[in-house]
Amino acid sequence: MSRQTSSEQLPEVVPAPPEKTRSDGIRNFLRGPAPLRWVNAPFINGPIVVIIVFAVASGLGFLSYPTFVIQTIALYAIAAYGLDIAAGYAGVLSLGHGAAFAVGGYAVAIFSATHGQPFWITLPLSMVAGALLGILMGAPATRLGGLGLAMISLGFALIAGDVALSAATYTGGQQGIVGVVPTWGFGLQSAALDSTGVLVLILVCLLLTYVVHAAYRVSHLGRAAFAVKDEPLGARALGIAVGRTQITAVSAASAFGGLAGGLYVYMNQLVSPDIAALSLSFLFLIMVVFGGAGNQYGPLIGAAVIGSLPIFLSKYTSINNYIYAAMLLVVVLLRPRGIVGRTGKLARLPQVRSQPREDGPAHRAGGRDSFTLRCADLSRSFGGVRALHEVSLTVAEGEVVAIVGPNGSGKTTLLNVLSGYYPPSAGNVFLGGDNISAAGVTAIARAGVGRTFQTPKIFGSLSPSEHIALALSQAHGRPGGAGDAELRISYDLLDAAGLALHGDHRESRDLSHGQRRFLELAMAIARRPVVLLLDEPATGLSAEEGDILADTIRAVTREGVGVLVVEHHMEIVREIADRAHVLHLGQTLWTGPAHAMGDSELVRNAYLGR
Amino acid sequence: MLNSIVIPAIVTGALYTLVALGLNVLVKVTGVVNFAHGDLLAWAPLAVLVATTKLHLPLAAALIVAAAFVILLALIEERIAIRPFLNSTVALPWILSTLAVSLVLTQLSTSPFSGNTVAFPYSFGQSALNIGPIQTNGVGVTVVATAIVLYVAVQVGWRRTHLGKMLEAVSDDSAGAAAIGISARRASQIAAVVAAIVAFGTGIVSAPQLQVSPGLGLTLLFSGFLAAAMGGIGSFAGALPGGILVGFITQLISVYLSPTWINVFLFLALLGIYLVRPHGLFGQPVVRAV
Repeated sequence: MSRQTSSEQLPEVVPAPPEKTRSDGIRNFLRGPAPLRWVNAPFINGPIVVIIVFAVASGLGFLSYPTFVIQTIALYAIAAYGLDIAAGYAGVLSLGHGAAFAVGGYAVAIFSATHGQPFWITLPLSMVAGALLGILMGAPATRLGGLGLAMISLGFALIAGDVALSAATYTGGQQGIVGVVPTWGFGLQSAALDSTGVLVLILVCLLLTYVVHAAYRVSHLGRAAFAVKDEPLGARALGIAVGRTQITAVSAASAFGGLAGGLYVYMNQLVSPDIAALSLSFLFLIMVVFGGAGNQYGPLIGAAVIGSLPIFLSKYTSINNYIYAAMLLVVVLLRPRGIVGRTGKLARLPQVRSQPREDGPAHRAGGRDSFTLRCADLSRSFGGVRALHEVSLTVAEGEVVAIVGPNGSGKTTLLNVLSGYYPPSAGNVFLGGDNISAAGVTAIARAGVGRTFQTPKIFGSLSPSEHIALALSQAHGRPGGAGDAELRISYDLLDAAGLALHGDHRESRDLSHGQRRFLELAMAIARRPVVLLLDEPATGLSAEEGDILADTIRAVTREGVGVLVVEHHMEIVREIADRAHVLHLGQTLWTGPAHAMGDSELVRNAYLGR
Repeated sequence: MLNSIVIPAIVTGALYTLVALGLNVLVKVTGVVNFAHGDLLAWAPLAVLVATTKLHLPLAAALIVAAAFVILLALIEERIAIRPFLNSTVALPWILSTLAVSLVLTQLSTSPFSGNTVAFPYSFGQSALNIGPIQTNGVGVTVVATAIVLYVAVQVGWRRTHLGKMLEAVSDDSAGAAAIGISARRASQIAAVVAAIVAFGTGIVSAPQLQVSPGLGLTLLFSGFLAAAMGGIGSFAGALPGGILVGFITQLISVYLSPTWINVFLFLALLGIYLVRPHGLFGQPVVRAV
């Protein structure tokens, strides 16, 4: 198939002007005129809102019912912002947030009432207790995928109340612990916080939670969490440890769940097993999903709506559940990303200083051998099927090797074995002097093997600039690497694809096919890999895009990166590859200079099926 | 020992087997774990009671009306909360949608008898029944017999009937099944109906012992979940060993320790199994393609 025909079938990448939709208009309105956008910064609008809320509460009276509702909403918001770190960022739908809430509540009650500690010790302890519970929940659960996580966390939520009942020595059993008041300590017994003090304490904690939630979002941890949620396989190819990212998110989430529980106990001055009501776990999840998972304002909106429902419906309590159910259904069916669904942010990226290189491979201090990917007698079987049989090949520094072969010849399997997705049945893979045969995807990626997939794996919730920032945070710092040359190649590639790194913080989920491919490739290159494995990178690209691809591959080889490319387009193979390696039914059929491939009788027979 | 532990454990275990079986039917075909399954089965005896006491229907008619009602609920749920998310793997939206249905059904179930616990009088006898050395009662025998019949029927139906093979095709590869004319939507509807029938049977045979209350669904759902998870989510064969294991742990803990510890130990047992076999005793790991 020639590249010309593919360009007729598939859309070209023309940098599309951002389409103005109605919701864009609303968003722009909400964002306000450009000079006022600094209001979006959490450390600016957070304190402003908190001060306004405090003023409103003082106007209404600190002991009034509306103030009680405001406190409850603020508490819910703390828990919801926490849960959003797990559910909204990392996609870990925890049904056990109520367990963290309960654990934090009991931690505060026990240390405050039983041991007489001041609040500035008990509240951090409630966070520690929550975080520990999060690790306990996350560690087994992350091995099981989404459903396992939901089940395990649900189990924690269900048994929390039973444990509180059973461990009566510490928890007071059914009666619970009463008289839990926040004290200042320093021997000042009289200096307990009054209701105003508790309100201030809750609002300050909400502010803290809000700022941490926002900071987590733009940190490497937050971007990695989104990557894991959107495309776990692609995240691993970047060297992100999926399980650890999820556990970190769950324990951070549970820490804030614990804090909310602790404050709840201070507010009510008592704790009992009722704090572990299962419905609370569901309510927190509803708040996050309803408001907008992963958004700066979503959890607050969810908490405000759900927290204020009881005011309007206090006479008809049975209606609450119907309304919660209706909200859940409407949101998951019609607006799966919640009321405010925007998650993209702008990432600040480093400037490029180096100039494009015109000469050959830059030799590095380690000598050629330390940057060579080599596999020897590699075999892989699936049941009785021999997908790969004793394949040996070498990709040297700055060399392009093409893997060619008919469908089913084992090309993608070879790439998957080399990058660790399938362990080899026999044989070894070496990167430099290290045997990486059994190292696993993340470790191999961190050792310097970058890869792309047949279907581009990009992270829909992140903006293009965040993809590159994420890749840079996972760069492995190759010894003797040529500075920021790879970064320049990445920027050039994105520029050619019409992807703006500055000023555009829309999510990447609506990108065209070509843009996705180039974004994925730009990420892989920005990580400064030793070797790049590309799985059919030209599929679905137009003729111009194919040229951009070829230029990019040439540019990275000039920096000394070895490239192993699986490709059907013979023109591209002949254009860029130094050597070709033809696979047929899992075995090496022919290997030699790429330009000589067409002359081989064997290769023609394999392709034409003779 | 036999009559204080083994027999009650088998009866309880048979009940959890039934719950796990109903969950697995739907999981296998649609990939959705139905959080409202407990509510469906709690509605079975409730609907019978409503039909007999409020509508004054004879028992046979009441059973038919109640079964039709539960199947109708299941079909409505399938349409609004399951079908839109068929084979969705991202972020598990169906957890939230089936949870929403569960909230509604639980709340609805408080209206006929103001949320009070009501006795369910229709059974084959609560009085003691001796079979050789075994002491049990008609309710226990009914539960075990129903569990065996449905456990065998579902598996035979799945493997031997044309319908079962069509469902299996959808379960294996819904896109491939669609290509040869088997609709994933119709399959999910059928699975919902089969699960509802299992739920109906479970609800009717469990109600004489457990009585009818709005909390019935959640109680049975949690233990049934654990049974399904221990046996392997989506594994029909695993439902029985999973259920019996949960039954024995439940009975041992409540006799030798205290009923408040039951859920804690069940949960620890599940964690233990997951650490050794991450997909349950009989579950198959999903092979993921890159």
